[in-house]
Amino acid sequence: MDILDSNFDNEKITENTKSYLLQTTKWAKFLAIVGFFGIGTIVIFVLSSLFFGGRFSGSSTFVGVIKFISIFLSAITLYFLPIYFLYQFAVNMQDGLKMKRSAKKIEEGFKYLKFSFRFMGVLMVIGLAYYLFTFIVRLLIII
Amino acid sequence: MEKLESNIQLKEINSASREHLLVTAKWAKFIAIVAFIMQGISVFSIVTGLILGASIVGQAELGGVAISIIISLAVVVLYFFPTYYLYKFAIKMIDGLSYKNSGSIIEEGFENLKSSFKFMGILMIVVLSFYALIFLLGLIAAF
Repeated sequence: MDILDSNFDNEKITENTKSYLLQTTKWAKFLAIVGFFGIGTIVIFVLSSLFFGGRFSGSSTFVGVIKFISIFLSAITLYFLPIYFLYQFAVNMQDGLKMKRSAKKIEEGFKYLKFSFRFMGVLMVIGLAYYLFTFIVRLLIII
Repeated sequence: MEKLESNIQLKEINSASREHLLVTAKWAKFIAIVAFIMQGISVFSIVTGLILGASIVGQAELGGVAISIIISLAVVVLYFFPTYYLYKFAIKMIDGLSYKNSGSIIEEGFENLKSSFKFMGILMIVVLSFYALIFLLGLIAAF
């Protein structure tokens, strides 16, 4: 990791970079808030269909309901986390860029940006691995 | 030690931020490359659909097929731009963090990150207004 070597001078955040970062955080915040609304809408829809749509009626088993709820909760968490990280990036970075003596906040912001991208990247790896797996399984079935 | 402490107070990309940004850029590069491949596959399947579809459907349905193909290609093109900006952000950031005195490259990286988020944000506004329009039309039609 010679890139992270301490003999590097710390790069100043120039006025241009500051302006770019501020614009980035504004759009990131907007996207995150829309994302939160989207998740909220999905949760409300699913919950209301659960209670009014008769999913809890005699036709569905207890195990089935538990299974459905756990899958639903994990899917919501997978959607929620990268958006939450993005929001934290936006909030911390905006704070850090506007205040004096705020290297810590800026650092926090970059940390959350990292979390967000890493989460989406790992999710993508898992998704691709799943596709590859099903592809191979189908191939084996054909042969 | 004195110098280090005073450095922390300035608006700088310190070594922790540098590490966060490097990891962010690497994942962003991976995500962008996967997205490029997906977009390539989409274009390929759309074009294949065009060739197969044109040979199957009669003259009368050709107009509808053409419209749906144009719309799907447009969607792929819309997704291409934020991916391209994200890729450029990743490349510039990895470059900029690897050399000394590379503030201008880092600056360009942040500019591209901004462009990527701005594009997605504007796209989000367009999509949301489209939904609102459909909702209003549905409301008008209902009364």
